[in-house]
Amino acid sequence: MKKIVRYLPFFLYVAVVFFLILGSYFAPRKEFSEMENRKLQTWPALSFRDLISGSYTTGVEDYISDHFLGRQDWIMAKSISEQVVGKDENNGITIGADSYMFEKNTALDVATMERNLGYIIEFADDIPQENVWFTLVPPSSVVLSDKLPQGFPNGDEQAVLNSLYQTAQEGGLQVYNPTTQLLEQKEEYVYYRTDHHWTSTGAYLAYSGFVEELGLTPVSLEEYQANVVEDFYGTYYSKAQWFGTVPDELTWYDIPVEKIVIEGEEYPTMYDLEQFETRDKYAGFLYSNHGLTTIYSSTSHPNEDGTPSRILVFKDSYGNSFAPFLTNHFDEVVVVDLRYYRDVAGLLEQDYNAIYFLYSFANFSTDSNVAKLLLPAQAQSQA
Amino acid sequence: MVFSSLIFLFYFMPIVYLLHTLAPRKLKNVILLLSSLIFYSWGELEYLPLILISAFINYFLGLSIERWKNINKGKTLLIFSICLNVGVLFFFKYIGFFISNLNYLPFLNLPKFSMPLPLGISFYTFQILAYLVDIYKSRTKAERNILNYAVCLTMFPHMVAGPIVRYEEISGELSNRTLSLEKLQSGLFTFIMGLGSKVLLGNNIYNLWEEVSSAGWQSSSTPLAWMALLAYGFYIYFDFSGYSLMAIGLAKMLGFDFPQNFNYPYISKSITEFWRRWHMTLGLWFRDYIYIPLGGNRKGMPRQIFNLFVVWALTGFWHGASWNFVLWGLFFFVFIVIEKLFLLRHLEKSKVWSHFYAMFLVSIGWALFSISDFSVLKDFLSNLFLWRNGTDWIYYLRNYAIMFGLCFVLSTPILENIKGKLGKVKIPVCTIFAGAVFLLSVAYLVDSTSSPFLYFNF
Repeated sequence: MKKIVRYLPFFLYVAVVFFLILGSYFAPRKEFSEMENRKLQTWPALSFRDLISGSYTTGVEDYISDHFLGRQDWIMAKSISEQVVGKDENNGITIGADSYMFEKNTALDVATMERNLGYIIEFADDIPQENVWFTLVPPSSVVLSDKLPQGFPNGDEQAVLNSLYQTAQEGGLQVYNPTTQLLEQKEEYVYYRTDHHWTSTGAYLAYSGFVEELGLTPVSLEEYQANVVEDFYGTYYSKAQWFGTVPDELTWYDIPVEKIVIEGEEYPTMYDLEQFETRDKYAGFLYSNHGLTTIYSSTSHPNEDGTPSRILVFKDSYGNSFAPFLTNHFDEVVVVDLRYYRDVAGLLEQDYNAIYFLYSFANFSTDSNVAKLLLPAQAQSQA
Repeated sequence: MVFSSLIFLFYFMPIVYLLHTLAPRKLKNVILLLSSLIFYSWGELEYLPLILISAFINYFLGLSIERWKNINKGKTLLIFSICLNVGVLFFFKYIGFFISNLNYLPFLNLPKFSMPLPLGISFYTFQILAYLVDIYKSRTKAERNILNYAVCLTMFPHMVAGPIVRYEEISGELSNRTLSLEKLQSGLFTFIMGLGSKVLLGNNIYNLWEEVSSAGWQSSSTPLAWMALLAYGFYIYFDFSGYSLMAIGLAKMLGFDFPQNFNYPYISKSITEFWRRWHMTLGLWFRDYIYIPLGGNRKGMPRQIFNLFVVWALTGFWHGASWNFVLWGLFFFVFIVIEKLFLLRHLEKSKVWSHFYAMFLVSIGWALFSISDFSVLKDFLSNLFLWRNGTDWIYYLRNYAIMFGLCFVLSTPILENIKGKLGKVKIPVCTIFAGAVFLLSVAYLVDSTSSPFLYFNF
């Protein structure tokens, strides 16, 4: 008896370890992690080549960690532990004032941003189209800088932004910089707290500023029904899993359309309502990211010569909550995500009233797809 | 495979220890060898043949040297064996360095060539050399059982990163070791302390170093550069000492008594003392197999200084095939000589200043150690010693203040002292503490595999 007491710690350890092993083994298998927005590892097939290359053993280890009993709870425990040791950041996400999260980026790749801008400028030069516009959306850390913790180490993002706008103008692009509008209304919930996107309010502000530059009158939000989706835990949250996070509210406006065609398939509305029920709610806008999405407006805006008015928007995911508003001014809103599309030459066979490049700051520094703009027509058609 | 991983903690460890503990004596080494080979080659199958061949050849070399140690043949064979083993180490670890340095000669333009580094080769080569020399000097008998020798060389606790355990230290346990609940429990406790050191302290403070250093040293403020340097010093201590503790604990659970490798080096009051507390098995190896054979301190001061020079250049060089490591070793050589000549007496008189002196030098040493590219090193040293203003350190100080506090405190023997005073409540307190460390380490390990796919960021 004394022996059991004396060595109880060891037996406890054995019990805990076996509990976790057996629990992990017998727990039902999940295939997809909503929190991490990815498929979970399946047991790798054994092959000699995979053994040599190391991919088999990596697969086994990934499988074990992906299906570890209570995985999300362990991750949350670590997040709590980090808070206890006084951190205001976790896994690259910093928590600022009013529960706002910010993405840390101490090594911003300015060279890539300049290169991408160069591709856009060159593209605009090459084509006969006159009305080529460029917007680089400022990161939340610039607009909401008063919510940043002191000494936030992202460097001078505002300076980088300004310099890029200057280069764009000098390169012959028309620019629209939404920073001023966003700054004016920054207390009105223009960026999500837990996600790297702007809210529909932020998108609307940029939209109104942009169409005013085009000489058009922005529609008023009151014309539409606002639908609020609660409990939105965005991408920043899935990285940081910060205990005590106040979730976001996502608002979408019921803008009617005639139809929306995504890569050949037709859909009745611009919003994937089922997606709003899952964790990654932002993906409900325009059914997440696809190569080519054409929105046919329910209102009519023909050109003087009777042809349909059309705008071409090259964008990243920020454009998804922005593009819907453009249907108030154009018969067709053609939305292209270069990550999934290359036939730019084919696109240019149609006429456009304007071509718009709408990118977000962080994404622009990592995007390697803007170069596709300059692919010769032959390569593009091999998509 | 690494100790601090879910697969090791929850699959390798339970299975291997269950089998090893329950197996009859004759099968224990078979289990240990097979599991060690799996551990070693997990994910890196290509290095397995080399160490197997090494074990095989050196087993026979050991026996032969023993047979002929009293005649000329023995000495020749010893020299051949040393050259062979050092040659293998040189080829895999240093050939690239050698060639790129030769290319500085104006008439040479050799093609760049380097080999991937087999896991643990720096450690097992030194173990082999010690073995062969000890046989020749009759300090130990050769191992007659090839299985036992293979286990000695490849056993997973010390295989990858030490401690450098000599054959004679474990020869008895190789053929006949006893297991007990006492050993299992105390070994487990040591292992968990090592796990926590690495995962909770070392990995954590490493993030500060990693973030600041990856931005280059041209925009960070001077206070931040010093914080990063301190972070590096704590990272390498808790990582390395943690790993050694895990090795010692795992070995104990197998019935082996491994030597201590770290003895609170950061409480040292001189560089001399530091190197008696840091990576102890390496220091002892260099003392026994380089310093003393060269004459040690028995041939007058000038010769002693030369001997120290060789030892420290080699110690630095052992750590990496790059000049900054040699510089690091020689940096310590300078201060060890100064201390030996006159400074040590003065250092022993003070408590605070000598500690500050030692830690300051050790930190500068880490600057030399951490960066192999000399132009980056220059940037780092300027960042440290030429004042640059900034507010960035505020952010990192706020985030890492408690971590630094924990690192400072836990690099002293305070936990051991507390444990000694616990008396009756020792077992429950230690159990709760170790349990918390273990569970928290698991949490951090699971989190480190979390990789949210930010669809929109691609």
